[in-house]
Amino acid sequence: MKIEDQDIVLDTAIRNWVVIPILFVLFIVSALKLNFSRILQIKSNKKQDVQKLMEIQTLTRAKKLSQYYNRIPLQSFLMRKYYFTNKETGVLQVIEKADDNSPMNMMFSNSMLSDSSGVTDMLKGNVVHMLPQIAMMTWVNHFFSGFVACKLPFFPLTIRFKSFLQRGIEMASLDVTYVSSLSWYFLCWFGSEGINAIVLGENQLTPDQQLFQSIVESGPGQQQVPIHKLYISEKENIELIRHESIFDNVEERFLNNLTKNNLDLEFNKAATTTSTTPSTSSTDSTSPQSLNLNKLAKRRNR
Amino acid sequence: MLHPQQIQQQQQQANEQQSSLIGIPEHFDAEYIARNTKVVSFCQILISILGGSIAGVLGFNDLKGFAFYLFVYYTFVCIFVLKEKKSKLSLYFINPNAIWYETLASTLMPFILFWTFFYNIIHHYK
Repeated sequence: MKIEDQDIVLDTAIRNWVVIPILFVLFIVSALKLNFSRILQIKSNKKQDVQKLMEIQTLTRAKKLSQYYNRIPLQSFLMRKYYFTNKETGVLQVIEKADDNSPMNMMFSNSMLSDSSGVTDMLKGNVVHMLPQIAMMTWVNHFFSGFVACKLPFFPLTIRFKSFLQRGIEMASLDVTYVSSLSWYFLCWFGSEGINAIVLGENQLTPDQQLFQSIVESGPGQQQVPIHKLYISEKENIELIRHESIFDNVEERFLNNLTKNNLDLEFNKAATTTSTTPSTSSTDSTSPQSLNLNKLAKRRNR
Repeated sequence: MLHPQQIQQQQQQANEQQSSLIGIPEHFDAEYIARNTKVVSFCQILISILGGSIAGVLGFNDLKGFAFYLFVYYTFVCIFVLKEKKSKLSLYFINPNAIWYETLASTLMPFILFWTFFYNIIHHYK
């Protein structure tokens, strides 16, 4: 029981040959892992065929149109609608026809292809992440077990963790804060994610590449629903849109906002910097008037 | 059964109400917001590593260390918010208040690692 009170002095050899090497090796392994997974990603990117990528990008384009249709004028919306849903040459139409010839066949081959590629990708990821982890754990457990490696500065976990934290040390009276090398390894593992983000994160991908990658990665997931069904649903979405621009009566609404002056401070500030004249008249007006104006504007909208 | 055009009308009316209130509907570019948060978390990890080293060198125990972590974290956030007061954080983040608690847990691990490391190296090996 006396042991718990006094500090245990650890040998410097433990520091030099256990604690620092584990930290160092973990860092190097994670760096290698990152680069390795990057190489694998680049290789898998090359395998993506052009047709699939085109289909996915068309889909994202159509989705963007149905999402942001109210930000473009009527004419350009109609142009895009024609481009997508036109009976003869519409982009979403053509693929549907091509797929209609043999829907079962296409579905089958599609799912088979995507499944196999998805599984291999997952396997690659698992191998890259799990294999070094297992190897390191066995390495640490095999070579550095049986002695106290370091002392945790924070409060001890409960006694139940003792067998886990002090692997290979069978001393009932030893304080729980003294832990073996495996716990130090886990601490390094969790903590090194932060270090990796700083040291290895410098050569991160540019946003364009990231976007490309995200599209490519989302490919297999989307492919599991056959592509022509997605096309049909997108086409219906676009056809159902009743176009109404948010820029209708935008001048009136802008002036209304100026007269309100209390709701949105930022917007007003921007307005005062760009156009100095209406800001002086905006202060004395009351809110009921502006509400009436708003209602008028809405009626005109319809 | 609801007619889809009716639903759309309702949606558009709701949109109109929103837009009449704010002026223009907000539009976020997810990429750039992610980049902004990444920059902030980069700083926070760096600060937490530095704080962990200091805590280890000074030899803080138990709760003292965690109190020191909170102190370092919130000192950084306060300085950051005061420095960026003019440039309006709401333009750069969806939820600017999230700085106060978002990375509190994720930067704890690097702090603990460096805290333990320096604590052991300086105080326990002889």
